[in-house]
Amino acid sequence: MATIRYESVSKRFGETVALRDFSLDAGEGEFLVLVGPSGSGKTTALRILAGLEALTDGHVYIGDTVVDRVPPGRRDIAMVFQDYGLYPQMTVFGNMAFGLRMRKVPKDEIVRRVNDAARILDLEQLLERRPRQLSGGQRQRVALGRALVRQPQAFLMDEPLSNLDAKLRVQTRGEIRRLQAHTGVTTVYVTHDQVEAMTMGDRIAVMNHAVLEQVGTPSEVYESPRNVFVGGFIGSPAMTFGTYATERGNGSVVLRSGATSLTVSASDAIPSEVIVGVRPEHTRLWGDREDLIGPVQGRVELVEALGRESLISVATDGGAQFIIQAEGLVQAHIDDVVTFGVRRGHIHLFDPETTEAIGRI
Amino acid sequence: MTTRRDVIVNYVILGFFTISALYPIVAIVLVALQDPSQPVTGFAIPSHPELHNFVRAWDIGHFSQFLRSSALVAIAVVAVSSVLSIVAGYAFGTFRFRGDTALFYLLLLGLIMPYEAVIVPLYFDFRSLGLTDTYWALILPQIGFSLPFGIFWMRAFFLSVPRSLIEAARIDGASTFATLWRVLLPFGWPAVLTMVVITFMWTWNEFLLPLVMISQESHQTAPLGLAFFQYKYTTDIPGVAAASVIIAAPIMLIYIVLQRHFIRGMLSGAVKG
Repeated sequence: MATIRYESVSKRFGETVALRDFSLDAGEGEFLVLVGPSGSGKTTALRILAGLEALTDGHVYIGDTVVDRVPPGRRDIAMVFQDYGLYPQMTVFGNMAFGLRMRKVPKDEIVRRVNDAARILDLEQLLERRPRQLSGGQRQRVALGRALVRQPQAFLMDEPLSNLDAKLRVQTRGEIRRLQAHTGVTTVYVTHDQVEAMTMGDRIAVMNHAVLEQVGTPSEVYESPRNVFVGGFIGSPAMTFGTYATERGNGSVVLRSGATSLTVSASDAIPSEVIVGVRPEHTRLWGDREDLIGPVQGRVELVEALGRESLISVATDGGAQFIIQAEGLVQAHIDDVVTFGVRRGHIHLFDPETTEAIGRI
Repeated sequence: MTTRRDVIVNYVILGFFTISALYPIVAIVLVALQDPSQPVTGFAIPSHPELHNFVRAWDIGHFSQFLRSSALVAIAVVAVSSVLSIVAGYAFGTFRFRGDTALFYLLLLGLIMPYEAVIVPLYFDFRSLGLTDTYWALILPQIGFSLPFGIFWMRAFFLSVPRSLIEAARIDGASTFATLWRVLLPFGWPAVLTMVVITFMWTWNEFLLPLVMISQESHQTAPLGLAFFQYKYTTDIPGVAAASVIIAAPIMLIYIVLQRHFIRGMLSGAVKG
């Protein structure tokens, strides 16, 4: 087990910047998730850590060692690839044993370790099969097993669940998390799926456009997004945004967008214009009698009845968009006018110039 | 949906191409069975099949000697050029290095250039080195001539290999050579065997190079044996036909043994190359 540290790492491919001044730590035994849309630089960051990509600037540490120029095979890391990268001509046993053979681990030790991993991953019956005779989920477990037997300093995982169907993905998510907790191996996990990030990571690092936007525990990132991008990317259904003008009254501030106005109490200085972000679960129908700010009226654009709850997308006269989360199945139709409010303390304000968070009221 | 009509059309088309491929082969074999004293008139079933032509052709064409030369040259060329093609194709297909594209295009030039154009200067070069009338004069140029294709072919194979496979091997601690030998080649055999068959066939059938480079009978290759059936005023047609069958036999044999891999190699090259 080792710590991992990126120190101001940059990567350029010709003119394209794939990673810009990237600094990040993972503690011993930590499960760190890099999450972001495609092209955000998360895979590049992982590949640099693996040694599959050379960095342009900065340093990468595994433990106390600078590994910038250490070849992948000597970094003592194991990686799980998106398409698994299993050796097609080798059996499951051969696939798992290959890394150990290359490291000249004694034969009986190899057999012991592969059998242990096979038992944990429920692969014992499949050891003599070849990858093409396995289902997607089984291949995935072989890929995990290949990493596991190595007993490395760190696991690197590059979207390992993206080739599985939805049900298997949820199941394997739990399995990987359990495995990691069991072995205590420091893990860096790359995904574009924010649900995966939220459910698996001890901490998550949100990336966009080659830049690290925010690092924190899932709840930190969810509750206090540092900017508009993080607010919109983390959480499903996504936070809704609108640009509002602010008017200061006595002890309170009115946020106004067309006919919509929200009166909030605020003592801090607020710029004359703000971006307001609200999560669906904090947007409620007015009748719910919670401590709501409003009322706001909006026209229904879409109703998604999910059973346990319904999501109602509305647009106000001023053009602001909201998604209302309502309990159970709600009778609402497109073009109905509904009245709703936002829970006090859950309105996120962002600076329209920088898109950075100003605060939450 | 494949309808009955589709099936019939398919068989008609396939049948046409099968016949056009087989016709010359069957014709040659039939001619080889004709009585040499009878005048040969095109495609004809021999009335008294005559296996004696093959025995005659074997002696007249010096094939016990020439086939041995051919085998020696072909095996040497195929062995060396395959190894070089694999390692060079591996480099072009999986590494990035300075000037790789330029170098690759330079190699492609060798694929485009008609080699008849270089044979005369090549003769003078080899003569000044004192290498004419040796096996070197056949082996060295043919290694050179087969490399552009071999490298091109193997590069296409290595490009078609999933990148993650090579990267997984690197992370597993395999050296560059171990990655090639233990991870990539074991499932690249169809591609390699296809290249081997094609290179072998080209080398085996080569006529012009031995004609120019070799004057001693001891070093001549099998295709040159065909010249012995050409007399001043006549040609021994059944003899030539029998000799052709003898020359073609080893290639046919190799192809039949390897055909399953050959087809697989051709397809993987065609789809992913």
